[in-house]
Amino acid sequence: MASNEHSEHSAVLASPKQPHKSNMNHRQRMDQLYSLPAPLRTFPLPTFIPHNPLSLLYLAYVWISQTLNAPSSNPSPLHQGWWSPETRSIHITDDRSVLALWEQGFYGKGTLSRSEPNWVDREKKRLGAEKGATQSTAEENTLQRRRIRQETKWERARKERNVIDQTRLSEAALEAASFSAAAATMPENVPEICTYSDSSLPASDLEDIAVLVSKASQNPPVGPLELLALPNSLIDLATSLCSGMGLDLSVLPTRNSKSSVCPAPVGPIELLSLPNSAGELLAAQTQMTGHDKSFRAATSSIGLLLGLEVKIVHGTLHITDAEAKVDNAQAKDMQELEYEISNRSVSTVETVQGSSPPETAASMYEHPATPMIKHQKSVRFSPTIEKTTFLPSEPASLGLATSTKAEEEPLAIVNREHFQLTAQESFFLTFALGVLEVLDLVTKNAIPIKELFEIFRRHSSFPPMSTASTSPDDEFMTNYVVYHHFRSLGWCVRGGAKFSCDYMLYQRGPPFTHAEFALLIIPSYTDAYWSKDALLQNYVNRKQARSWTWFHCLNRVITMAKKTLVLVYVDIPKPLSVTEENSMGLDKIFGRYKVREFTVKRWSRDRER
Amino acid sequence: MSSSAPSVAEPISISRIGGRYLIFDIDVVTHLRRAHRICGTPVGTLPRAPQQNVFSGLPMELMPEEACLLVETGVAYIMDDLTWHKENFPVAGHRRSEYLEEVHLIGLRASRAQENALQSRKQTALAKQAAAGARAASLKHIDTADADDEDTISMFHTDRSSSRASSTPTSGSAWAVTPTISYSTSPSQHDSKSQADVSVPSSYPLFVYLHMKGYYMWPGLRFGCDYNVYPGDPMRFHAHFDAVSFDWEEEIDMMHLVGGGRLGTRVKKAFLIGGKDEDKLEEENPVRTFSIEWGGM
Repeated sequence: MASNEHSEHSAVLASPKQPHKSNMNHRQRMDQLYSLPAPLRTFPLPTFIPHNPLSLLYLAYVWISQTLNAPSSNPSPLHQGWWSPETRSIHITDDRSVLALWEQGFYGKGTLSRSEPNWVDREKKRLGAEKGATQSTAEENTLQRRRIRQETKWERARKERNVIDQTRLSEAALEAASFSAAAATMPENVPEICTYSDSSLPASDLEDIAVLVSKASQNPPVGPLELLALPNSLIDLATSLCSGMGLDLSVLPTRNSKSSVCPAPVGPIELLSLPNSAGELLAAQTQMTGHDKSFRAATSSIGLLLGLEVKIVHGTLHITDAEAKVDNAQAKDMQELEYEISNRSVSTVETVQGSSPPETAASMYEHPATPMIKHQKSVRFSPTIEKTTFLPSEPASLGLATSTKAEEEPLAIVNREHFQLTAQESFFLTFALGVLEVLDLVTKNAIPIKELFEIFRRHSSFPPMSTASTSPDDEFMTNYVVYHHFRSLGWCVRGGAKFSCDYMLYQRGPPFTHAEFALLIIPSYTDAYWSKDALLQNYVNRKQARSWTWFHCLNRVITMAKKTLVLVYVDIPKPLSVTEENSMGLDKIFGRYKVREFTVKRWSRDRER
Repeated sequence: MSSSAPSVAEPISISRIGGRYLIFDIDVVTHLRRAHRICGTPVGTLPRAPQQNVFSGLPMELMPEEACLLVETGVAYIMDDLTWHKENFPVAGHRRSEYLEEVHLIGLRASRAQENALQSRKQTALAKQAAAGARAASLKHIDTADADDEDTISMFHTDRSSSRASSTPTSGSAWAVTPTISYSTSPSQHDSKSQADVSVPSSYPLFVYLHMKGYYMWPGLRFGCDYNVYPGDPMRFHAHFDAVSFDWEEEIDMMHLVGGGRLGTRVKKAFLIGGKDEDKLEEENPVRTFSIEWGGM
């Protein structure tokens, strides 16, 4: 904890007596960097060694010199921060103060960082200015972790997909085998079964066909690229398929008809009423818009698509069969349409086979993603316009990589980040530790502590009060009391907004451990003054009201992050007048508050038996 | 499916007991779930597994919102069980004796049935024994005939018959019956005048709105919200939303949004907030909803 040197600036730097940096492991380096728990210096006496009388002399010398000329434990000059009423925070721009306040007690946060102010490092690394820099920032670590997690998820999805495909294939093979066996036993009696045995994949109902359609047209999305390549709508699907087939789609429906194909699902009823397969969609469309010309075009284009699909699975008849079971009326429509489909399908398959090498249409459908990749959107950012037209095969950014390589000189990056302290933090640093002075932006002078106290209290509500607040339960008072309480108990206290609580308690600091406790501040009006009359009781009830659902929500959020919820009750004393407060002094004012802590844990008798 | 479902005559009676809205009939429960998207929560202990609390059975407790909605749509009416019981349950006079007679008859019928079952079982067992005995006797005749054996058999036999004789008169009497309900659940007996107004929480308009949109709702205390909103039957779907209702002019704490959004996204749901606009009451949908998701999680 103590550094032997008396120089003020030594704490930040490594002292020469300690082992060299390269010999230390990560933990030792962290311990050295964050060796001071508060931005204060301490001056312990040297150890007394009994068998070495010289050490006694040295001890006496140090003691005498320290009593005669007491060294200041505060940094000289004091850290300086600017009060910013707009953001209700203290801004610190001086690098020395920023480093000291972060490393010695973990106060504040960088405005462009998650907590530790490391925007410049990240920026340098991003621009390639620091080649040798190996230490990665917390944000980069998080990004890396997220990337790995994402990849694992996709990998898992791919494996699951593979298993499903395998089972499906084996099942299909089994089924085909059983059908052919059945066909062999009764050769002429049942003509339908003969048609089944013709096709390698007997499709017994529409769902299977739908699966086949989707399987034939799209790879299952087991990666981000496949997900992006998925069509956004059925019309997209038709377009991509037809363009993949090399067909002209001048008859594509207009935007107007697109919206009427199926409404956007905004409720479960709409969701359920969405067509389950292309066949259903087709039937619905013919029912809906039999006469409209543009819709005819739409239907025919999708019918064309369906016709092709049907051709692949040799299941044209079975579509109508399955429909007939479900709904007779619909089946009639389907039969009418089916003529059209089958007529068209013959012609389209012919054109395909004419235009492409002698592959079957099905094999073309297996890989529709290859032509689609070319049509992915790519956004290009460039300071100069090199050219205005781009080929789809070109990489997304062509000029950028070369331009950064061209200028090899080290980049001078201006630090655009500043450091922020909350009102409670800065008041603790000013009032309790005395290592910070807060300056006014207008007068450029240090704000005296009493005035700062008043400013913070006025700004604790929104909009800020114009007159001095005397209410003993404003947010600044309760929060500061709790902050001071836990800071003086040695905890590292940081804001808990991201877990929707008031404060988080760290054992030593954010780089070392996760937060162990989450604090929730609840004002408690136990003083007799607050139950004096109905008006006050109403006020108290309103301030203390919490709903069970809200509490459950909070508790679940915090336990899911493996933290313990602590309810911190702050006993609010009775209010004082302005003159009374002025005569009291700050320590007396804060001394009137009491803090009680309760940990909360959800206990379920069934789970924890 | 609909053909197999038992027909339930509407309006249905919902019993109000101690401020809770309960349904005791399994047919009504399934009907409400199928036809009206009302799920309720089972609160009764399962007789087969009384030592656990994870799975529960009848009765089904309805949220006040659900009960109110059913009453408003005319599907059901509320019946205050206590007052009905006090008014209609025969506590004295000849109706009481009639009632007791009826209960006695039920007990008698049950005991008869039991008796008959026992008798038939005994008959078959005896027949089996007789057949086996005949075979054994024929074998014994071939070997030897032991008098002692016969004695013991007869001794045991008489013993058994005497014990049986002593038990027969008790089994012949009617069983004591404890009726579980004081009236039948069919609505024809009661007039729907026994309706009572249901006091609903302020989140009721949001409930009605989401129900109208076709969602299923379960109470959402587990997830720290007012309702868990399911797109279909909760047995088949995961919830899509955690819905929390706010008054139109109510101040919403930002921390609540953070917590709700975080929780919702963590459990793969969206945090949904909604409220009724008091100025647009005459419009068709005075309720507006917004869903919130936490980015970068």
